[in-house]
Amino acid sequence: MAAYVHMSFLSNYTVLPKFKGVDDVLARDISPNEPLFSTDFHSFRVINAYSTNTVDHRVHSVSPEVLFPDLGFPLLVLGDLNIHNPLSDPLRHFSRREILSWTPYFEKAAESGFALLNPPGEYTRFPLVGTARPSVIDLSFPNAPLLPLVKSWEASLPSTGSDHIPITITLATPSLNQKPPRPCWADTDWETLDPIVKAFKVPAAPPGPPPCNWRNGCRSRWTGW
Amino acid sequence: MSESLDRLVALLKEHTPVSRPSHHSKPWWTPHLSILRREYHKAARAARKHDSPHMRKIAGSCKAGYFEAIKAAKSKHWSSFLLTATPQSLWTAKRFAYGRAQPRFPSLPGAETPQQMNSVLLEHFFPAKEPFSPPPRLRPNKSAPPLTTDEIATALSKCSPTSAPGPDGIPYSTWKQVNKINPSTLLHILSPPVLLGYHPTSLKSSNGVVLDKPGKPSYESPSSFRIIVLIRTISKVLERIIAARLLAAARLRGLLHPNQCGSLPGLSTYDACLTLTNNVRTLQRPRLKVSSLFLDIKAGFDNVDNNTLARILREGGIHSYLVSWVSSFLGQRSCTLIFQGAPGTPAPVNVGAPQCSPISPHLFLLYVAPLHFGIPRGLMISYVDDFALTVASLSYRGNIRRLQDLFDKPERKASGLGVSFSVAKTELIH
Repeated sequence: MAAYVHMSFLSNYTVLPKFKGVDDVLARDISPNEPLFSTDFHSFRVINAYSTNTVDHRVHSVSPEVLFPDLGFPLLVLGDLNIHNPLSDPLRHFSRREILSWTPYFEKAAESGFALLNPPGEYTRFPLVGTARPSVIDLSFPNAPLLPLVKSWEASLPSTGSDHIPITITLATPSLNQKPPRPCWADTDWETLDPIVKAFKVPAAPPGPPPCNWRNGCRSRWTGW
Repeated sequence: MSESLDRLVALLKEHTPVSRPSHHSKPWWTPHLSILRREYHKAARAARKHDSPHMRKIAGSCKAGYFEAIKAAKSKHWSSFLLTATPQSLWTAKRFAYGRAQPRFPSLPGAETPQQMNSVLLEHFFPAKEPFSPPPRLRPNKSAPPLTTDEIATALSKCSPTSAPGPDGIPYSTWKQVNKINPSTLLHILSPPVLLGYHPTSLKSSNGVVLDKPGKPSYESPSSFRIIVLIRTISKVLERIIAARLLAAARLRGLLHPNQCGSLPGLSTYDACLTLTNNVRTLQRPRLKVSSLFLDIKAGFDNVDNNTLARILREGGIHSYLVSWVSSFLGQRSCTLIFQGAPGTPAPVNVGAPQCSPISPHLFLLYVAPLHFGIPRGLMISYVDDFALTVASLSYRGNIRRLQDLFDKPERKASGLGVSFSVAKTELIH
């Protein structure tokens, strides 16, 4: 489990103490000098986890409650969770044991307002043994305050020699590209509008205000007093 | 007026569906491809179910046929698009061939947050000017001729349906249709501003789209970006109406010099070039040496002063309602900058004559017309903000002396108007 922090954040991050006796979780609070991407938040937390199978196969070594806390500030949960699930790997055939193993994690994530970033079917682990199939077990979950700041999830960097490929998650100021849909003026319903426009009445203009009112109005509009 | 306009805009938006981006995402798609896709999926399902080499072969050939057909359909669509391409679709073809460049995010030193970037860009594009002096009180002007439906129809006929709309998003085509259904609607909405000589504040808001200038070595300065200002189309209709009235009055009262070209009906770039060429050849015929000094007014539109322009118009005998409308139009404007991550808050700006407006070139021509007066006719010709002084004598040295003498007059007048000639763009041609 390795995590890289951008140089600009190096002087502003804190590694939190051991996480409730769980060895496989590392949490860092990162505090940029300025508010985080023009939001009201001044820091965000990254929880990096390595979760392995336990004896009963129902819950892994890191429990859903530890992984997905219900916090009111930006939080990114990521790591090798060893969970196979149809949201990230839709083409995989799941055993009953696997279904039992991912259900509590995804229920808790949904309950705490987390979203899965992994694009469906994009593998993150390519076993070095040729007989085993690739899988998606490195999962990333931003919570609701962080989700609007997530710009991209990419697995395009070259291999580091591990069977897990490096993943880059980019955070940025919310993009203006997410514009609301615009009216399609070519499809205006003129048949319905025709009688409405014909019946549209414009009231007569009121007589002009006296000069003092007009000046006061202008002054208050532009000076605020 | 603003309330009626808002009510009408709301009605129009209510009866217009939102665009579906997927509708035109595959213009090359054909019904035949839908059949092939269905066949391919059917064959693939059958191959998975029966898992025989024969079925797998059929599924493979279906897949190959489907993808080949997609390739052919794309190629055919591109060829037919090029065959039917018009000069107007040139940029669409470029976009298809090269893709659309992603807008560059401004990264300005000392401006870390979007709010700071917004302020820096606003200061660069709209530098602070003298405060605006408020127009006289609003009162219907009896000398103002009432607005007619013909004026509105003429103004609308000159508007391109593909022109980018302003903050309300309504294109000209919609106003044309509204005017076709009920000409009295726009007449009643636009009449009060004309009669009162007042441009409503609601029509003076604009969107300023910040675009990067291509090929700059660095994008850490606001000068590496330019701005396209978009105002409401209904405002531009009103501006065209006033521009037509103002131009007619200015020509009647001789406020424009006959040697001024550009943005005037019947006096285009071609006319300006032809007149200059004709002048030069006429002077060359008696074997004289001819020299032309080309001058350009620096940031011309931005430096139009509201109070000075009102004085020029008033002294020129322009109707008071037009002078009042122009003063109201130029003052108290606001602009919302649009770039990635922009806060999207409108800010009051002082822009001189706004570059986006159809009336601005006319206002600028009237503003700089005094530069022509006092110079013998035929020596100076101008195209909006570009001036050419042409002289002839027996020697080039004599020409230079004459040009130096002549240049003093427009330069003094320009400084009185608060404008100056750009040294970098000045050219002398013998």
